Amino acid sequence: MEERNKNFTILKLSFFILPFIIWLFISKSFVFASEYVLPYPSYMPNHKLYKIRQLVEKLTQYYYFGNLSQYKYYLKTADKYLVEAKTLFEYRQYRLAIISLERSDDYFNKAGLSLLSAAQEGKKIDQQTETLSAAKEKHLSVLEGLLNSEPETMSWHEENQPEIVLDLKSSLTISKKQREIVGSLIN
Amino acid sequence: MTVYFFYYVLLISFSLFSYALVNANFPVQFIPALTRFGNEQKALLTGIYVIQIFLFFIFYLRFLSLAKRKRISKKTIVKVLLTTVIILFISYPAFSYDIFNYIATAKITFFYRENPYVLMPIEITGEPMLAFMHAANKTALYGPSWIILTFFPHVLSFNNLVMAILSFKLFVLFFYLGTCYLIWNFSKKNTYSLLFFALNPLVLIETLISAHNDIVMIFFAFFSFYLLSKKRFIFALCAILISVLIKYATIILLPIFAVVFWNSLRNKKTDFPKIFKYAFLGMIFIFLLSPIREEMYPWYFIWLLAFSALMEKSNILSTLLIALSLGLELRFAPFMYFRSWTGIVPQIKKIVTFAPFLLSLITLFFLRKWQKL
Repeated sequence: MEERNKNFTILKLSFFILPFIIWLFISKSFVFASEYVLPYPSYMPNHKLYKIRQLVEKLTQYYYFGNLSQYKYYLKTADKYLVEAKTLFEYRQYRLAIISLERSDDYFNKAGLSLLSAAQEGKKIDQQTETLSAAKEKHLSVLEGLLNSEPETMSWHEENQPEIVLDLKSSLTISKKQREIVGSLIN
Repeated sequence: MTVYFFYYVLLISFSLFSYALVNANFPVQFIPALTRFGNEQKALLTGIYVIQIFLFFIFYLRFLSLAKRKRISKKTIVKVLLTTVIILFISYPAFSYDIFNYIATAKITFFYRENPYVLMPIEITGEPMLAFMHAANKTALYGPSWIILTFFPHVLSFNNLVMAILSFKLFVLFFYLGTCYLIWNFSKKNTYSLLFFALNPLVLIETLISAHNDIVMIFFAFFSFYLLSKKRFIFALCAILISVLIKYATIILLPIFAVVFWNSLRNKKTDFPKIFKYAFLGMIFIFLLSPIREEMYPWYFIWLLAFSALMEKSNILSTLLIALSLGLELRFAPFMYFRSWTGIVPQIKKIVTFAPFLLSLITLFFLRKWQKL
């Protein structure tokens, strides 16, 4: 008798969960398409979490093993620092902007070098070359925009520090040149 | 004797049938005439598939009935299992593309030496597998223990696609046999428990034909409990972590594992059937959550079936589990007919999945009512 009641309970429970299962079966899928886009700016210098962001960045570098994976990491980070530099330029934080720009240059160069290493290992890099070219164009347009909007030089005076003259035009031109060199190397 | 003979005939027929579904872009066409037939006679092919699935379940029920009445010897079980394993090993993984994802992920990791969680197969220009594999635009879908474990079949494949299919199938096959052994062991050599899992057509198709890694995850989960019963605590902990880090589904077992761990440490006797009952309930929960991520794939049902084999269950529960196994295996039929996963196919899939379950439920309900009268 007890066994029968147990069985009946299972039956009742099954009826109860049935609509739930059917509801769960209704699933939708989404498709997204995108062109080469730069990311939104993350934590900016002087923010409490900026150092942590940089630490995470350094650590994740080891996660991206393999030439093609490293290329992705370097390009992503180059993009991130370029956006950071652009934002800093817009807020007239020129000294910090130049530091970020130099970081972006460094990562962009490394992205190119990773691709070349991958090619040397016999890996086909057609897709990655295409992406890097698109990235280069995007970076160049940002740099071009900054060259047109920002002053050529800027006197910069920090607390307890002697005044220095920042050559913004030269920094931006060097950055542009570096993108072009990387672009020509991989093509 | 006749039952076994016809069962083996069905296995051979199903193995051959799988070659009718070889992808047109697959570099090797094993039996071209059969593949051509598969492409031209879709309705007939679907009909044959459905009939074979039903036959599989009829034989399964027959074996369960023999086991229940203790009319099947240990020797016969070993013979049936080994023959099943050998015949299905030579089949083509026709009903799922996952094995190609396993192969591709292993190749990215160990051949190209790239991080499979960063690089998608589609990003490897000129990779021959891209011509036919699915989900090439996704990074590794499985946990790190699975990636590490695939080193062994990858090495055995010698970078040859057919060898890779065989080595991955062989790899999964060993874990299937290991799981069967552990079920046999935990059930105190109960033939019904063993056959309930080992000969369930869903388990056979999804494990021995499609070579899904779910069996590897389940094996390590069982193995962790086995090691706990032998008081090998550190190894048990490693085994459960390996299991969790294969497909993450067994994460639900961690609290249960902790209880058994604690009991074993204190030399308290563990009621394993009860433990497996809770594990079964936990796996039901995870199984029901699966549509949120993607959909209720048939091979996910292995998680439940494995634990259900080791718990005390009523005939009603066994019937419902078998009915749902049948429904889940029928999900491939509409695709076979329409050769598309879109349009009306998702609706038919839902219907065929629940039809056997619902019919069993209604039948059982009225039987129960009738018995009461």
